[in-house]
Amino acid sequence: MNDLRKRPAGGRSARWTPWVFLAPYLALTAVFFVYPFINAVLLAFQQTNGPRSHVWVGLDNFRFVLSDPDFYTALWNTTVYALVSVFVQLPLALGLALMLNAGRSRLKGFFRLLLFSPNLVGQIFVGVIFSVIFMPRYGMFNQFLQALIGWGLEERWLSNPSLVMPALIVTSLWLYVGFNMIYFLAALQNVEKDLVEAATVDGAGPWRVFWHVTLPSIKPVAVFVVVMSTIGSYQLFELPYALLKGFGPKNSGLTIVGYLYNTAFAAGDLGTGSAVGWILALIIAVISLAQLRISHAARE
Amino acid sequence: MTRALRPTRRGPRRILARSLYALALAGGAVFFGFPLLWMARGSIISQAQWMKQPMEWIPPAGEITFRAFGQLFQSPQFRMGQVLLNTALLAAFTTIFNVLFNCMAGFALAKMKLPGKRVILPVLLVTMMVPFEGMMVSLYLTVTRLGLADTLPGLLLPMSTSAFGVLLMWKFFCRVPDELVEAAVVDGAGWVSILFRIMIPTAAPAVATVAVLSFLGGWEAFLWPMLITDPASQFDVLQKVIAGATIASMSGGTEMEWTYLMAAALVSTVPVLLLFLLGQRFFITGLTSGAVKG
Repeated sequence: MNDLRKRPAGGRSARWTPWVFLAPYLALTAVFFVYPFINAVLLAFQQTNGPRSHVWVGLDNFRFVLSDPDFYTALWNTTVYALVSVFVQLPLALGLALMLNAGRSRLKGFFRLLLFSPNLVGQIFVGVIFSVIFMPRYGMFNQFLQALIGWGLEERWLSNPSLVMPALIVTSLWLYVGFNMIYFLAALQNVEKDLVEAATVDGAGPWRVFWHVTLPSIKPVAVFVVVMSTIGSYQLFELPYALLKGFGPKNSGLTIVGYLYNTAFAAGDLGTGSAVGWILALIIAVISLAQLRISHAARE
Repeated sequence: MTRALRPTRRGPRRILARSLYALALAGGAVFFGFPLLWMARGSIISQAQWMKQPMEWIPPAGEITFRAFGQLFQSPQFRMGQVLLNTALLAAFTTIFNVLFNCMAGFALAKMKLPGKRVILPVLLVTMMVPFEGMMVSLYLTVTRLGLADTLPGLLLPMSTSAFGVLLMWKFFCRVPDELVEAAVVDGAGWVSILFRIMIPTAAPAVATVAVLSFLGGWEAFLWPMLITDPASQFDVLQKVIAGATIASMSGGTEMEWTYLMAAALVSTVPVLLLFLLGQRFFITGLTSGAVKG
């Protein structure tokens, strides 16, 4: 960050030059972030009737949200999903990355392409494709189960409240395992081979090498991936919305952002919607700070 | 790592480990590959073939039809020609604006004398920490009040910079040696040519990150277009049209043929897949350089 005392040729006094370079970013941020941000703070304490009428209601919007059973359904669903993302999806991604890292580079290239391609399909399309895959009788998943274990042809995954979450998780595994695997693969390439060889020569088995050599060296990336996928999980909306064509039976696929969307845009209560937005921002901030704190503590 | 997981002992244990390895990879290939094949299969068969029981995994050659693709481009519900063009333009402009604006800002912060620097960093960090969903209600109101609802600027401008991009460029530009910049100054280069001839080429992986993330963000945009453009708007993008069509078929309006949806998914995926194949290294570096080297 050494500032340059010298100015480019011409030597004209250019105190404003940096501001010219910053102008597009600053202008766009002022209009589309700072102003709406301040407004969003105010809006959360107001009741809106139409776009122009605002009444101050204090904490009523927050009180309403925190006493609404639908909000807790959404919070529960989103939390379950986030936990599965971190404790099932990420280990799978890491496991695949370890396997491919040990394999031939052609194999690695093929799997990287195959596993990343769901991300090129887009969340809405992934939801739509899996809504067809989970279809009773005609869906691929049900046909597969029938062929494999002779059961499941008529199972209605997406209209049975207790089967919605498993179906959503399978869909999200398909979409995100490859994405996270790419991060792990990139991190594994930076693990020093000498260190691994030395540990192996010293008689450490694969597990000990993994715990004491590999994991510590990929830790920065692992922390990044854990934090990002937790944040991403709490922002979940498009995938269940397209998969369930709404929020599923008995709100079994309702997420916090889905609840926000329902309140603010379907029901038109922008003030309460804003309050939900702040609760969500707070949840995300607390969880990501906690994760960073834990990973710092673990380092010492 | 290579050695650690690859079994080195000979004999039955090695054969067992090898078979487990192959089995796991084969399972992965089936799980990740079949939905894509299913999508491709679904786009070229008739509705009657869909319903056929027991299912024929590989449809007979006579049953293959490309009618769905024609319908996508002709039917007023999908207007695929216009929608694809909109999506491509949105993705292209999102990428260009993000790369340009974020590089400019990062450059000013990294290499120029700037008294207000201390104020800008906290703004950047707050912008990054507040999730879009938390602000979308208020952003929607702002854009509507500016009279930009259902316009191209209203759709595009809020997606045109990102705090993450500015921070990333700032970090990478700081690592460019000052001597390089000073030498260019001595040679008579201006700030603009320093940015384009020295900074951007030197920080190529970071530029790739910004480009790839903003391109995917533009191509797959859904929530913001759904909020800010009218139903059946002239600015409709792919994901919005498809979500609209599926939800409409659910609420019983029209009977939706699945084969259309699969064809639309294929039409949406193939261009990005080709881009990905052309620039796989660029894509991968782009996604990971911010995390791995940052």
